[in-house]
Amino acid sequence: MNDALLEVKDLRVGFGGGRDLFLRRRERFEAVRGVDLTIRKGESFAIVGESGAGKSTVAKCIVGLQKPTSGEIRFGGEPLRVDRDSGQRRAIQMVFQDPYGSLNPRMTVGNAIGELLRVNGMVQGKDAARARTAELLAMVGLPETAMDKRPRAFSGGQRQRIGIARALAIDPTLLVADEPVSALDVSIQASILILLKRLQRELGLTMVFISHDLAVVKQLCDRVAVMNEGVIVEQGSVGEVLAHPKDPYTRKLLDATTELPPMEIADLGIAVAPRSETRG
Amino acid sequence: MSATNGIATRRETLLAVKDLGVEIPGGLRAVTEVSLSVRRGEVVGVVGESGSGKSTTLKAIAGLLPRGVTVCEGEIDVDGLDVAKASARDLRRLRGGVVGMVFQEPMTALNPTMRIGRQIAESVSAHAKVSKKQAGAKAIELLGEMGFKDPRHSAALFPHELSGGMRQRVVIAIALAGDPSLLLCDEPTTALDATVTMKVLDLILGLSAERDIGVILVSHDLGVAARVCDRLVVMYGGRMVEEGPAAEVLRRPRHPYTFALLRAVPTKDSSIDDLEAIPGAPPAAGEAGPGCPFAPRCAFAEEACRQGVETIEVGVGRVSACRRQELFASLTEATGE
Repeated sequence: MNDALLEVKDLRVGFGGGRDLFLRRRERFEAVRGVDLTIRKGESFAIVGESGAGKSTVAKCIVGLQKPTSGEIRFGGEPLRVDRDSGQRRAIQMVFQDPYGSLNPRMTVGNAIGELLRVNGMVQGKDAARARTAELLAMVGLPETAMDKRPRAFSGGQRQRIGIARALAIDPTLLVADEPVSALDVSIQASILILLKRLQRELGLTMVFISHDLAVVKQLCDRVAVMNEGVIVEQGSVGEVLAHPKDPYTRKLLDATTELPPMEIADLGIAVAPRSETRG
Repeated sequence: MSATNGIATRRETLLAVKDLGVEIPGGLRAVTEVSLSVRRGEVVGVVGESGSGKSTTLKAIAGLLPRGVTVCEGEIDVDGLDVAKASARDLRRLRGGVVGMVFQEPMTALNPTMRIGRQIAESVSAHAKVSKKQAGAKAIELLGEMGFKDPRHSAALFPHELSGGMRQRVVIAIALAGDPSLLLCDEPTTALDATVTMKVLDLILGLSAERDIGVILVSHDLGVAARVCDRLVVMYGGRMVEEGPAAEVLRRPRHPYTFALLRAVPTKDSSIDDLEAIPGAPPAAGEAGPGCPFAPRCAFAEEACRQGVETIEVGVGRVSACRRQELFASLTEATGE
């Protein structure tokens, strides 16, 4: 496959093992037990599973925050290691689950993103940095005035927008989003999902989306890999996997996915239309 | 529906909350004009986002409001006792005896240094005059009821030896140890995985039927509520915005917030182009003004919506706190039901 952007081959990650302070043998735990993935340029690929499935560990390996025990990750044909060069580092950016925990509380948003831009040589000088930051904030739906505030001044959804703006600041080729909407209120989740979808469409981003929720994955992704206990139990197009799950675990996960009775209500006119009419 | 001629009859309505108001320090309102009731064998869902006042309402019902947070208005009648005015002694008898509580995080609700059987037995002894042996036997019986395959063996386990779902079952067993008639669950499945969530919900649903007890399930998750609840109370900004039979509320919402929320929740049948985000953010606890708390985000809000709120009956057992009912009425009629 020559349009493959990211290839993961037989990835394994183990924790523990060896001996502790008192030379007692420590239990070895394999979080990821031989994962193979191919992510194509421009697609949105979901890794779905429950806690302990190993999905976040795979994401961390891709971003370079976790060293695999064995296996290979190739990015654009080149091997991708934990001690990667700055070009590779820049090309893969991450959006975290907890937007507050991933922002520096003492820095204004403008300074945080501006610093990132300058350090990475994206712009020259403070004015250019400010201008580009304003552009990035506009892209994620935040006003220019957001620049001079600190993270605590924002709501959860706004913070996640800042997290996304920061991840996009240095023009990544691949965006890895680890449960980006799980910590958000229900009424806010949709706006972030819609934002991510728009960015996908407008920027042609390739995205790896980590989630526990198949309903969320359905909205954003083209293909999905279902993980359970460190292995991929099923993989395919989102439509196919949701309509015809083959693995019993996928079926179980699907049964537990949010289902609501259809609304029987006509067009409310303003800003909202019935589901049936907007479909397609 | 009160007890007749002095004989202790089983009251059908276990809980009746009327116009509840809760004040937090600084004179701010966390909950305003909440009314709800729970009958035997009924599962009532209270759904809302963070800051909606759902947990505060539940705590008020259990008489567990933190220091400085007080009931400033209304009545909470739990099986004949007005919780808001009850003495500390009455409240102690109420909790565990009449009302059982299940909290979100099972690990923090359990004692990590004590075997689970003993923790349940302790709770049994607290509410009945029984010997240690009887309490232990009851604990094992409860574990069996909670779906533990080998309850005798499981009773000797410590909480850390159990999975999250199993821990939550232990917490439910403790809540049921005093044979309460009302079970209050505050986000009982939020910390659990989806497949485990379904099992715990099935358990709660089964208990309400078999034990003929009333259940209040507080959740931020509409999907969870839709699965198990007979009736739904939707809360927003400290107010009840809508109440009614669950299927009715979900199919034919009569409040713009419920409607908007239902359109914002991704389901396995929806696609991203159907999703409609709600602009703005919900008010923090105590931040809502005198009018409808949803008005600032509502597409249908008029000036009058910002002045005050009226609760309107919109059908059998259904109320809505939206003034603009003519709008909804015309819409639901238009679909021809």
